[in-house]
Amino acid sequence: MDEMMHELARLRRSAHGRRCPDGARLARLAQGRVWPWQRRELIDHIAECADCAEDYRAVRMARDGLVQALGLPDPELGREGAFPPLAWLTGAAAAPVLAVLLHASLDPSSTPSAFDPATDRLFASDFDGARGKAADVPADVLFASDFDESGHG
Amino acid sequence: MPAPRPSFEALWQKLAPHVRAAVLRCRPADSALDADDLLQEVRIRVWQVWQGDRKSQLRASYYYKVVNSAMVDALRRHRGTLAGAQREHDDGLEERLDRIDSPEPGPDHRLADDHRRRRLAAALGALPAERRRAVGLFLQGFTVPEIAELMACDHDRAHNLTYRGIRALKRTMSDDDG
Repeated sequence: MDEMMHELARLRRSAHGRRCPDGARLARLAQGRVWPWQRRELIDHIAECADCAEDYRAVRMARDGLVQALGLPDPELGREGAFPPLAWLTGAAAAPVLAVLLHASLDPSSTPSAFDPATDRLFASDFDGARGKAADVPADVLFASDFDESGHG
Repeated sequence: MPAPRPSFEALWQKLAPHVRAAVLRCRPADSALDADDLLQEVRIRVWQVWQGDRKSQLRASYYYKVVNSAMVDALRRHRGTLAGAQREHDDGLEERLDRIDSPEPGPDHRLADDHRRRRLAAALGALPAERRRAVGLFLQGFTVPEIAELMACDHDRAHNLTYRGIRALKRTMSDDDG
């Protein structure tokens, strides 16, 4: 019965050919952890979809409290860090940044990481052994950026 | 040596007030379910993840994602389904007869509304992209500061985009009327 209700709700949302973003994407938008083109896509959708506008409000409302409760870095600061102004870019400094942006643009699943990996752990003060480990978690529920093995494996 | 992971209750006690506040505020008005039921659904999803994370390998940001996914899924699952089914069930002959004398708008009014809505959508679609986004968000009930945050721009720019977009919409609509 529950499955049927879920399916009905999904069909209702997609009745006009819309593909609603899931809660995780809305949460990333609320945190400023989306690339500018992803932000534009999401905003275009939210501006037309009343259901997703409501969902975004819920996510946005819970954001600050959850971030504080989980000891995550401040999303406002994260956003600044995620998209630094380009004015400082000069000559050689621009090349690697542009290469990273090009790589990101070719990989639609990528997200800018606004978090400091050193503090992005569950209750980091409680234990030091926390490590992202993608292998133990179903692939469909992961952010690539959440489990960046290369940076802090 | 790593400290033992926090108990589920300790984790949930930290998360629950924020989930509850969001669910209470944003729960669909006609939802047949209580906020506690929605909260319980989120709790179960977090518990399932916590239960599978015996070695404390998941990061806080992963729990953040799980909570948000579960919250949105719970809100969506019950939006317009249970409550809608209930309304359909209650919508018997008596209610339909009552509606004949009700002051509700008739088919002609609905047609005119539909026509106006289509014109509005066309006018909105003709706006430049940034203005269209700002006005679209405004029509969804977002305030200018919220629009500024969503569009990652400052307050003045969000205000200008919204104000000019709405002014253009009004002009288009009044031109069509004239």
